[in-house]
Amino acid sequence: MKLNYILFFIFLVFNISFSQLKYSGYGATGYRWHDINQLKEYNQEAYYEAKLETEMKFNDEISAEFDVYGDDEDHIIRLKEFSVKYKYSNLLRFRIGNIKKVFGIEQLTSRDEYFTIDDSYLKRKFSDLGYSGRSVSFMLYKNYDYEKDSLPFSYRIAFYKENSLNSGFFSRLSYHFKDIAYSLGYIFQHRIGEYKMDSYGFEFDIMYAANNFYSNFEVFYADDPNENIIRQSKSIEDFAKIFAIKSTNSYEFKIDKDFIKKIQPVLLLSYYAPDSKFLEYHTFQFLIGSDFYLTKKVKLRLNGDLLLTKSKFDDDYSTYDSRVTIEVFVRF
Amino acid sequence: MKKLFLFFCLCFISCNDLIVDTDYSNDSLSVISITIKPEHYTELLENKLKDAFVPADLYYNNKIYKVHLSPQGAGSRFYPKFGLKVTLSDGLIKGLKEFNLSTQVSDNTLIRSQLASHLYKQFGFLSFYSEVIFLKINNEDKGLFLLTEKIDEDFFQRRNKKVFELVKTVFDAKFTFMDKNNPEATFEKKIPDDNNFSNLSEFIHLIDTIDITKNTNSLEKLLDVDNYIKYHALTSIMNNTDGLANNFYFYKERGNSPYVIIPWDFDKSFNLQFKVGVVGNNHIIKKILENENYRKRYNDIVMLIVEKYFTEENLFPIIDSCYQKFKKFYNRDPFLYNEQESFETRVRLLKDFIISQREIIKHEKI
Repeated sequence: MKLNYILFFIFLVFNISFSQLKYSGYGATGYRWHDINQLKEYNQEAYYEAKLETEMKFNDEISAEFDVYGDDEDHIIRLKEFSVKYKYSNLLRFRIGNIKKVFGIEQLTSRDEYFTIDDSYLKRKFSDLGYSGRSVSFMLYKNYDYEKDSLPFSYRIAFYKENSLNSGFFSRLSYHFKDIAYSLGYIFQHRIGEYKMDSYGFEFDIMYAANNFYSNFEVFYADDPNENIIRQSKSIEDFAKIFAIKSTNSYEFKIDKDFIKKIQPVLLLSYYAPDSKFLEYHTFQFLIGSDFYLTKKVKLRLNGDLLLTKSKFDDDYSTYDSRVTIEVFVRF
Repeated sequence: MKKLFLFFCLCFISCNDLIVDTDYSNDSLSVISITIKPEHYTELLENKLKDAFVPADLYYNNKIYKVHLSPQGAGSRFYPKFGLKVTLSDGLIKGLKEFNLSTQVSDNTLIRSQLASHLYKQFGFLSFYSEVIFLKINNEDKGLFLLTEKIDEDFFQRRNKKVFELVKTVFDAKFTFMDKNNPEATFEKKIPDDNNFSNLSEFIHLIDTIDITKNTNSLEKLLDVDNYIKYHALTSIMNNTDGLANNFYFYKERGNSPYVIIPWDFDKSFNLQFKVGVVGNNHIIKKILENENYRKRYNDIVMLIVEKYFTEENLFPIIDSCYQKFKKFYNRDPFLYNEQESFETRVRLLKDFIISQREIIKHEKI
């Protein structure tokens, strides 16, 4: 409760003190059905959530971002992000605060810009392993603007420290050529405590965005710190390396009818092998869905997300945690 | 001299077996009173299948605690009387920062859980603290609930135990890959909080493949077989219909330790309707009993339980003590009170069951 008052106070102070404020955010409500034993976790969920982002510009160089978020689970408003940005030059900017760790395209993207309703299976797995999520980080970066930039590259290098046992750094370098971007990513995680573990992840992706068509392809190769701690405890030196690929594709059809303005179908395919030495044990994700735009910022969404998991000892594929989601989404 | 030494050894072993720390002599029942804003209570009711939480005030032992409540339980969430997880903002109750108020829906006396808890403790199993309390919400009687300690990192810390891995069986857990089986679907990884089931999968795979008549070493490395035999025998004799594919934890103290069992949730023990038999069915025990030495050990444990533990002398004083404690509050429980079947009748049925179950087990062949 105290946090709510503090957030409100900060919000008020910022409102009074700064004239250059920009608000944005989203609200979403929907229904989700999971393929989960309902005695483990209830398999139907009616949900709602909202996020408010406030961007404060102090001068041409310094700005800050302040995001609050709430959903039906907590029934309270939580501070999701606070970060300060400083522009030293066009080639070098700094950002410090509770920001997303970047390992792959999805973690560069905000929820309100997702083509899918939920995080992909790969992102959920990487979150479980500590390669995704938010941490207090210090980041050096450069964005790329096609119209303004003569140098066709962008980068991010960041050091992060979690309030847990993890710290580390991540980096991403992108080369932009017309509508295509080629990127390389690297993440390092240092885990302390009783079960110490250093883990690395590499990523390569190609992204295409033009003429209402969006497509990307990503390849990941990373240590599995959770599995490797188990192996280390048994003095097994052969550590597990994850191999994964993912592709997200979307096309925007303009309709311009009274009720529906445009339709944007999405197809996401991914393959995840928890141990690259045994590629026959894996999870496939087939996600198909569509956004139906009622206005530019209001859309109805439908996703069918099939997961097929074949584990080391089971000959059959399991559909555990496959899901169907419908949602109304409003962006502002 | 040898006989004297043997006598002392036996005394030492049986003393170790009897670890009892619950005080059944205390004849008062604690009352917990919760005050919650009507809109928050509505939110709780509307989200009882999710883990949404709401703020409330909890009055206990002349003190008010600020708490957060969220719905708790698996199958019990589908009943009108559902459990609550209580998280204290400050202070401790019974030394706990967080605890469950469990409904024990299948235990119509709230005594079964006490009996099972007593027996598992006597057998040396790591056990959670529990106590029956009477719950009121907004001054309305909600009935008898079981205050239970949660099995989490703090549970082990309070007992000066290390924990490398803790996996909970959820519902209809399978200990074989011969049938379609994704451990993620029927087990829950509690510590560490991730979805890595490789240790458990390796154990299940071994159950499928090991020739236990020739080699027991590889199984002993992954499972404390004696601990499991004790758990299985006791659970079967208690006729706990929900304790062999559900409601227990696999606990690994260190990375290379074998799994030991921590029992959990006993409301379906002393089940009057369904029979488990002297050897309840699951793939673990099926494999273990293929070995002649283990089979003999199982027999010995069953005999020990029937002779020393599952007896009127050991269990009836607990039943009587609980009856005395609960009777004042029992009929105030809107979900337990039944005009057709009184608390006294239910207690009598429970005692009758113990007597008859003991006779059945004595004569049942493994």
